[in-house]
Amino acid sequence: MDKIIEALLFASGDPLTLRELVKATDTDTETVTSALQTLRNRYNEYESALQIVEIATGYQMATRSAFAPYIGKLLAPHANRLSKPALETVTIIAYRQPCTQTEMEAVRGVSCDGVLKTLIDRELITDAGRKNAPGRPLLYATTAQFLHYFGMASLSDLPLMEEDADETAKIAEATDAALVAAGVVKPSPAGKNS
Amino acid sequence: MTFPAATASTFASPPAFGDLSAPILLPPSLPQFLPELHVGTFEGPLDLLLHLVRQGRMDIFDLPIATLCDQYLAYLNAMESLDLSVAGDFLVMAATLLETKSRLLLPAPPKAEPAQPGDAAPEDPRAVLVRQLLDYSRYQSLSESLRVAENETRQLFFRDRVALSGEYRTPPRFGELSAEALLRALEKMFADVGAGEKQITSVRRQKITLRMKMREILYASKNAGETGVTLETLLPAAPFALLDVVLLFLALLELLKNGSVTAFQDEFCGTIRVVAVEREAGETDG
Repeated sequence: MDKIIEALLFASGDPLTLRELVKATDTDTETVTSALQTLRNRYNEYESALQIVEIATGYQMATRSAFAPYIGKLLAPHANRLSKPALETVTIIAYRQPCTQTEMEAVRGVSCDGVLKTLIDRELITDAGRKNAPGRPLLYATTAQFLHYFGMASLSDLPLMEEDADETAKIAEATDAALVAAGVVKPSPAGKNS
Repeated sequence: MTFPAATASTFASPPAFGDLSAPILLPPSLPQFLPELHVGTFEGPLDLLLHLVRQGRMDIFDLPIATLCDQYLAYLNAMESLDLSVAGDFLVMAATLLETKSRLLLPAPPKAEPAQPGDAAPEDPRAVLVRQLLDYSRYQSLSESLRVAENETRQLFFRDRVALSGEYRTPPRFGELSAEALLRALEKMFADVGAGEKQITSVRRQKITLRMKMREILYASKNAGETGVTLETLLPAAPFALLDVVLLFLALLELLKNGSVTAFQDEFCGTIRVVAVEREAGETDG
């Protein structure tokens, strides 16, 4: 069974979801999951150059990162890395989606026009309807390509963030801890301003 | 571009942002540290403010607004070649800082009643700014962890979608055709319409003339008798020259105008029948 999965993953190229694998192999989820595990173990045992990664809500075959330098010599480089503004903006969208341009601009304090266009061009975000608010502004959300780009299986793989973004105290705690950890500010009682 | 650290000479030079800011830009005591600054490394006023807060090791929950304000304005002054679209945002922040600073100087409004121990303390004027800064720095650190994820994923290489070997094709989603497929279908239809046309390599007088067409229609409709002849049978078979179709149409219009034929259509969008009108053939321009 694990060989069938291996063949399917090889032939597809794109990430295959569990459902697609179940459908193609005519079995059930458990069989596929255990076969995937067998396949992974086998790859690890033989120290294969390949690995099965869980990415963009599916499974995909990929080379191991150890070989990146060699592949880099063979192939033309990837598209450029995201710029800092683009990365910041896509972060805000990822955590607040769906989210309007005004909302991200409020967080960043600068205009996001050009950045949004870049992100849409790279298919990392897409519009997700309009907000039911004056002017009916466009809402943006992240795409499957976003998950793939950052090597995540789903949005729950995003680095953890405190819930309830509006509560200053919580934000304060989270950020303060982060800042203290980074040695940026000295510890201080949180929530002084709330 | 690298600007030297703002020094006293920076302030002596005419302020970059007009008279409004001039008196404020001359603080009695200059901030002690103003390191080398790469203008353009800051993505916005909040980024710059956060940088200042971190560099100065300021307590973010008890912001020394006056110091922060001075440093911010000093940096702003150093950025003489600000991108205009960004400059606006920076100036708004400068105004906010100044407003906050002046609010802090004002005594708190006197209360009608002596404050109860349980009363909510009046909100610190800095609260809004602090909240914004914290929010922004939170997303900034999150974006840094995304950057790590980005770099890790870039070490992996995936296969491209395989060019399948003719036997199989990726099936289109049910009930959904890609715009590309529709475009191809449309192109095929266009190719059929213009097929006769494509073979014309030099412009020549066509063999078909309006009169020939008129005669053709008249003849066909007379032969057909009462029920008339349908327009479709008059149409040349594909592939046909566009000129053929156009002439047929013109000829029909001409015949209708001089009353040699009448056209009927029994239902909306139905077949068009062309019926010859009973009269002297000599009258028509046949």
